[in-house]
Amino acid sequence: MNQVEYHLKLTIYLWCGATPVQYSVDSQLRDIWAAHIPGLAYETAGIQRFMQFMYQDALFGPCPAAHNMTPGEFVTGGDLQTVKAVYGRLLGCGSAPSPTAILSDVMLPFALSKAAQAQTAAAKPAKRRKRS
Amino acid sequence: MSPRDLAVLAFMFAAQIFLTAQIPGTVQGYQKQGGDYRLKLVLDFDTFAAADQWFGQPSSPGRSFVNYKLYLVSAPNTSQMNLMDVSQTYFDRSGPPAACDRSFSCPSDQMIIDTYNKTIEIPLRASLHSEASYLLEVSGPSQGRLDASISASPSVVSYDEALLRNSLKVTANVNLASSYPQPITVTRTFVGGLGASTETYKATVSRVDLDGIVLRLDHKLPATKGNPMQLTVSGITDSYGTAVLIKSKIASVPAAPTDLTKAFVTTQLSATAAVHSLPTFSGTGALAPWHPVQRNIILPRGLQFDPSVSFDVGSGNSKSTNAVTIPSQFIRPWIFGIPNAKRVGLPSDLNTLKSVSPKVLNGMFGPRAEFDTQYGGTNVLGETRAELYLTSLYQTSSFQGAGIAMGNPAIRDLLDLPGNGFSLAPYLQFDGGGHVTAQSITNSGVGTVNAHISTYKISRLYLGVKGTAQYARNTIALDGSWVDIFLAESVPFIQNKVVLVRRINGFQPHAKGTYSIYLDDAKHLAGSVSWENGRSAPSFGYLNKVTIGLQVTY
Repeated sequence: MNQVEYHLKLTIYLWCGATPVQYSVDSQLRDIWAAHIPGLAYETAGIQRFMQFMYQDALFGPCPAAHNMTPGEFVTGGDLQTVKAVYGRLLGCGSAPSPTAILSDVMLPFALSKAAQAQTAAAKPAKRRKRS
Repeated sequence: MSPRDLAVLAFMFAAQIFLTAQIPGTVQGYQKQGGDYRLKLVLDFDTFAAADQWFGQPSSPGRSFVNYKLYLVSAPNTSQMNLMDVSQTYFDRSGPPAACDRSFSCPSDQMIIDTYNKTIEIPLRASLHSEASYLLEVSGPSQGRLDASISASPSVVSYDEALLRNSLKVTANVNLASSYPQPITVTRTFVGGLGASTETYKATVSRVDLDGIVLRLDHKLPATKGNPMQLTVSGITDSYGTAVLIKSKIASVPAAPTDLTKAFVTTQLSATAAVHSLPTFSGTGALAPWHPVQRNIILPRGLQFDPSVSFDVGSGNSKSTNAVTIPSQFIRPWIFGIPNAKRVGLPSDLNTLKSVSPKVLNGMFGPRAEFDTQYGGTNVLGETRAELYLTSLYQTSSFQGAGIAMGNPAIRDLLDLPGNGFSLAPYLQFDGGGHVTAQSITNSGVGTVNAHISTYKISRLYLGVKGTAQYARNTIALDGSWVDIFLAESVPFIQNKVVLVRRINGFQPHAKGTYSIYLDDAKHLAGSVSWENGRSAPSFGYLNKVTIGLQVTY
């Protein structure tokens, strides 16, 4: 997991409580929000809160790429609809990875954590069986 | 070197020329629909910046047919792309070489320029093939080359708001056949239940427009789907009979907001007529111009400004509260239940995070005004209200649908999302202020005295719950509350045609439930039955009534 991926997942978690196992890189931000936050519209409160938590993040806060995002890009039809789209824009906030690394990151940004999640998920039932 | 090799070299040379000598511009080439336009090719230069230079003057290169070429493109957009000059096959150069202005009478075998619509029509010997890609080139001695790619690019669009559900238009850049002996098939693909499902519609050509073929479906497409509908149209052919398979996404008829807090206007209208009595009309509802999400007014510090007016008025003995109320306008949500950043220290911690169920406290505050439309009293108050939204009590169709879509992004647009759900939200509300108008209500009967109400202070606390439940076309909306009136309020009421004044304080219950069955798929119109029991501000008259009427929501 690279620096940007970690901070984006953390931002999403603090934004609406969605854990990385609940969504994927192609998930739409509006779906993640609407599935977790009852009674508040994504356009009204979700976008504003996402940008608030992004700016509060230690990596994204001082990063120009994060500040170049506008609320309009998160509205339907804008460029920033999915986790992948936001990740792609925030890649510049990382510790200057090589162009090849950036390309591979964009293609498979969450691959490592997915593998870790699979391992975690596989390990959990065994623990439960022991307890019972 | 064989002739084939020479041809390949020539194509590559031509491709190089195109790559190095293209003029930046946005001209578009296409064929119109209909039998009359089968042998016409249109070059549209409406958005082309250098249109005047290329087409505007009598000597412009775009007005001379000799400057036009048409290429057949094989393997377009690849490194293997080849171009074959097919101008001789397609262009009908039998007419005069110079373009004719459409404002004059032009022969059909001549190029026709329309300087108003900024198009030029080129006569063809043969219609374009739907399975091929073409490149239309215009060259000028000093201007260079101008080209437009042409491919069929078939699509389906909704073209008429009033016919969104049973009519579609097929568009393409090549001329399509205008009539079909066999029915055309439209298939909607979606994922619901255990796997992919389809719905099939038979369609017939109802009309041919210049920009597309209008299809009439044998039954209506579904409405109010959260996702775009995935449609496949088969049975359409080009003018050579070659099948053109069309796949497109179409938005379904949008639904009216079932959550009334997101509606622009909601009203329930009813009327009663009986022998020996005057007709009675009543209307209840709310008007909120900035409720719809796209019109929300967001202020700094997470505040939302959302003014609205609610009304409950009626004539005669309609038993309405006869009040117009302007509730508080400012909304500030707070979200609880999400751990702070300190709980996630290491990257590996992210993978072991437990799922949480955030809670939302929607705080509302601002001035509130209550107007008695029957006797003219006015209350001016300050209002504070808090609504609590819990995940377990908020299972609306959109909430459930988002959960499914979030976990299945690859097939998100195919998912047939649920349309049923419910929500319940407890609330606490405090109103404090005063009755600001001193009233003297005249009683005209003999031996009666006028009713006097002086100004007084108001202090009320509400504890209640509001909710909705939705199942297919059926919706139930509930709002039940207890109000504790700390300071007694004086309100007028009528008894035996005499206006009297009652004083109200202490706990007063009020409940209203409305069952609606929607009459249209977009859920704008509904037949509704409301039951209301208890006392409510500002008149606090005891109501126990059932109202049957028409509910309108937009």
